[in-house]
Amino acid sequence: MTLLLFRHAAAAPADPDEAATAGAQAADAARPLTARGRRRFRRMARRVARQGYRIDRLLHSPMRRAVETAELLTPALEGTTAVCPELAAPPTEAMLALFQGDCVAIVGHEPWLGETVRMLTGAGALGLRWRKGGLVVLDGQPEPGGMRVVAVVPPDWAR
Amino acid sequence: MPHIAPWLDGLCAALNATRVDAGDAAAVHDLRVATRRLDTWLRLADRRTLRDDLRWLRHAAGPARDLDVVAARPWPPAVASALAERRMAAQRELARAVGSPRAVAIVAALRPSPPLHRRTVEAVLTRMVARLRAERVDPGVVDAVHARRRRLRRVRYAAELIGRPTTALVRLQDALGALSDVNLLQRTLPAEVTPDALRRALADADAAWTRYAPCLEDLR
Repeated sequence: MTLLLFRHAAAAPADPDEAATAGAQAADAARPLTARGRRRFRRMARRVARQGYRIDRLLHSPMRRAVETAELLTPALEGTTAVCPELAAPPTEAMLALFQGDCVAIVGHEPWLGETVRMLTGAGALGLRWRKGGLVVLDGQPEPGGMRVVAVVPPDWAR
Repeated sequence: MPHIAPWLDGLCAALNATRVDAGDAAAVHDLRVATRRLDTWLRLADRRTLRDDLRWLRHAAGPARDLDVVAARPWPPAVASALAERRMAAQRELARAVGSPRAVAIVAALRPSPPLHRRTVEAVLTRMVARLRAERVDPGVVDAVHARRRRLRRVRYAAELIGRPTTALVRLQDALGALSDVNLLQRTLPAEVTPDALRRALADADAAWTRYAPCLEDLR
């Protein structure tokens, strides 16, 4: 299978008023994408589709910035989407069972995406600064050490 | 501007009630209604994500709801007992779904949704009504009438969002719902439904459409 791991696109800072009323965690969860982040990731999504990736499972964290990023990927979607709270937390082996399909895309957060790649490839640190809107493509079986890195794609690849 | 909060609060209330008691027929019904309303909301917002999650939740409640509808009729003790047993199995499945982290995450992911623009809802509603009025539906085909009912329901929810009158829509939906109940009964206990009962329900649904469909024009 092919696994496309996207870090969410660039998001606005948390709204201080919301942080004061609803708490810092709720305010962080409600951060929307910036106009620039949205514009740039829309180009990334178009290029992903042009490369021939047809996503049959799109998983995303419940954070607004991840939901909005996933929404921009839907032109390349030919299957279903699912909100996945596990993507807003450190990865576990149990989470890997959710990666079912020929081409699965996930939209999540650092540092957990990087930890997921390390778990799946069995490699050490990638030495990668995973920028917002960036993509890592893996290929193989979604089990510890069962995948290899095919591509590391910066967010401005699609410029 | 229409906000998601009231409908999302409806989902939270239904989730909480089914978590306490998945055997609560009203809560199961409310859960399905809430997921449908939110699906309409996402359609109006032209969003694709989270709709599959809402469908998953709705389908988790489907078997329990279907059995509640069927069991609401008077049955001989043996049939009632068999239905109750099936209902217990269905509510175990439902309890697993509503108690899952995914159910919590659906609410969390929907909560920060920005409000819809009233003009957007009005424009989409106009298109939905035009399509509903223009489409040809064979009044003798249950699936076709059922599909019309689903579209009608989305029109009603969109109309509710912007405060348009929906009394006639609700009556029409109820009339089409009676056909769905007969159809459901036929799928659950085929021996209990005569072909004549289904024919009568189809005729009633068609009569209701003829009577109430002109009211759709008031929504444009």
